[in-house]
Amino acid sequence: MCIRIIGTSNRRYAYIGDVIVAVIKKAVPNTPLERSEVIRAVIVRTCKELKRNNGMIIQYDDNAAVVIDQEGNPKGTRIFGAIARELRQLNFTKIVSLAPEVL
Amino acid sequence: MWAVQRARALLSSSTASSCSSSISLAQLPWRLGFSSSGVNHASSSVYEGPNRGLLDLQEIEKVLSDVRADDVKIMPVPKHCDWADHMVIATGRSTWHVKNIAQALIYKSKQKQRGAERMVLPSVEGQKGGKWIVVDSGRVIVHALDEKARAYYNLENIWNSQTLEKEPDLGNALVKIRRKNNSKKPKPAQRSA
Repeated sequence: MCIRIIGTSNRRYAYIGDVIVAVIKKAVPNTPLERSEVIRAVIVRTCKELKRNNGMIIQYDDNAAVVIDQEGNPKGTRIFGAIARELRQLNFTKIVSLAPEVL
Repeated sequence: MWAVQRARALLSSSTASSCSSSISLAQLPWRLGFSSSGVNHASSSVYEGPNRGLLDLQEIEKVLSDVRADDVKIMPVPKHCDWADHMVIATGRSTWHVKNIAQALIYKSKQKQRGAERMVLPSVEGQKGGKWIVVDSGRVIVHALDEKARAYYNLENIWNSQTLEKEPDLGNALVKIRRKNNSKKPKPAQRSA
């Protein structure tokens, strides 16, 4: 669950490339992350469509975020699913280079 | 990539000037060049001028050998990922060493465009921590990692396995195969028997 978007004041929704502070509501057992932990994460996929300047619209089937630490390194080692190219311009090259597919 | 684009641009200009009557011929290479530049993402404005700021592979190799980065690996990015051409992975012995590798690369690109009005610097990520620094100089992406981080993220594995797996799949995807007609198969068997 999202608590707050970092670097903004009083924004209601986070879009692709935003860093959020979040709480883990559910976690797989025997993983480094536990329930009710406060973390930082980057939004990588949204159901809400993303518009590009060239008229392209990208819309995913799910909302997804990647858990990162304070320095921007991802906590996990692999990223699943497609990722938008905008993340590279927003200085999340690490996440882009781990992703299997870049749209 | 660069050379090809430039050649295309030259081609289009030369054809346009020489044979003005055949418009369709002159348009064709121009259109090709346009589509290939459209593939690049929005920071392609960086590439449009002469590429002074961006580092070549050879330069990066030289810098990395100068700062004594361990275990340098250069990998071509598979074709279906159009966001970069090459990945360079290097290991540093300590966080200081990793930071120095990144600094050396930035210094090199600054030296390369000395006296320019506008400097184009590669974007650097993770400079503070020093465990994993990414220097993104356009078509070449340099990862400088700590030893632990390198073992943890295992970047080589991703890019090697992807090149092996996905390339043949894409080749076969468009090949048309005629379906077997199973309904007529048993007939000759019956005749022979």
